Amino acid sequence: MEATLIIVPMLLMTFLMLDLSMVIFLRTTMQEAVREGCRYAITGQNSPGPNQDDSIKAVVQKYALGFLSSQQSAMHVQWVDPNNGGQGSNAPGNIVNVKIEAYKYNPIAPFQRMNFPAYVYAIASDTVEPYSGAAPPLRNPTDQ
Amino acid sequence: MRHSPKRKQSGSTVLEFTLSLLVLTPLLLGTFVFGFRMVRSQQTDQITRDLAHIYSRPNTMNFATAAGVSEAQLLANQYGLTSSGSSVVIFSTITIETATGCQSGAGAPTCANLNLPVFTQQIAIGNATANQSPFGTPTSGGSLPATNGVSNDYSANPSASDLAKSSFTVAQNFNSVLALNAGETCYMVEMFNNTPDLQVPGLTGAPQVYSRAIF
Repeated sequence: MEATLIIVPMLLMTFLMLDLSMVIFLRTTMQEAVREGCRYAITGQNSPGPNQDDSIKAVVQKYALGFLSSQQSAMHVQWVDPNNGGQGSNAPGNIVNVKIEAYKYNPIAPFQRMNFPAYVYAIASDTVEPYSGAAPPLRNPTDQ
Repeated sequence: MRHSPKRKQSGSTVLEFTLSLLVLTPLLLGTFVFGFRMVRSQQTDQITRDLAHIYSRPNTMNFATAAGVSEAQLLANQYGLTSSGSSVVIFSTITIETATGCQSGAGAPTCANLNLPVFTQQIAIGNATANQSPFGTPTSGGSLPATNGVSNDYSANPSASDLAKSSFTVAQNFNSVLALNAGETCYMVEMFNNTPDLQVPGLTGAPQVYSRAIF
């Protein structure tokens, strides 16, 4: 009798702790991934390409421990003109924002049946450093 | 009339459960509150580090403009960087006052602030009245004036005279954090996040998360 009364709230608490821990783990992983992507972006490198934003997203995905493979559209690379805050380019001196927006995490159980997903956000920014040669091409310079 | 042993025990079980709740409930609440504050601290560390790195780069983003405010708000989007919000980010440029600076500001190679760390600029984005830098605010009134034409932004650029002579331009106790040499300049970003949503009365104390990054 006592076990029956206890088991439901105990399982709820257990899954809540698992899910909260998972969200925090995802948040720190995504933050590390965008940070690495941002560090890569400011160097003007472009490998494997063909465009620099593809390469940046590849770096972000590499550091996301496989979590982004099913939700690649959550990654965004945005270039900002520091003078007016508008659309910029990947030329040195501009600001690059590497973002993961609304990465969807479905809680393990039993909250999943309540259609109550958690969304994870992460962003890292930096100034593009001076580099030699022409700026690599961009696939989507207005990726917001 | 004698009661069964099981009935005798039932009262003490309720008492024990109540006593254990007195300990376990604050413990559980404390775990959640400090856990969430730790996560926030990690996030504000990241925000201050990114903003400080951008701020330290020459000839890039000016955080006393609408573009700078927009970038800071984007990075700290969940923290309400508005004049009435729960957070503020403070950008400070600190340098050591030199004999050249004294000559320029006070007309002599020595002055009151010679060899002291002084604020050459301070900018606050967000609720600047809620929190101020523990190192000081470089204005005579002790608060930053609103930046002309830029909402949610407050800034001050002390004159050469104030840098040489006025005590309010000195970054108090900054040497205990970072000892600069003459001619060196550093860029510091501090962030305060007031967390009334994480306050448990009588348990958690003053709710605030503070982060700092210096380049």
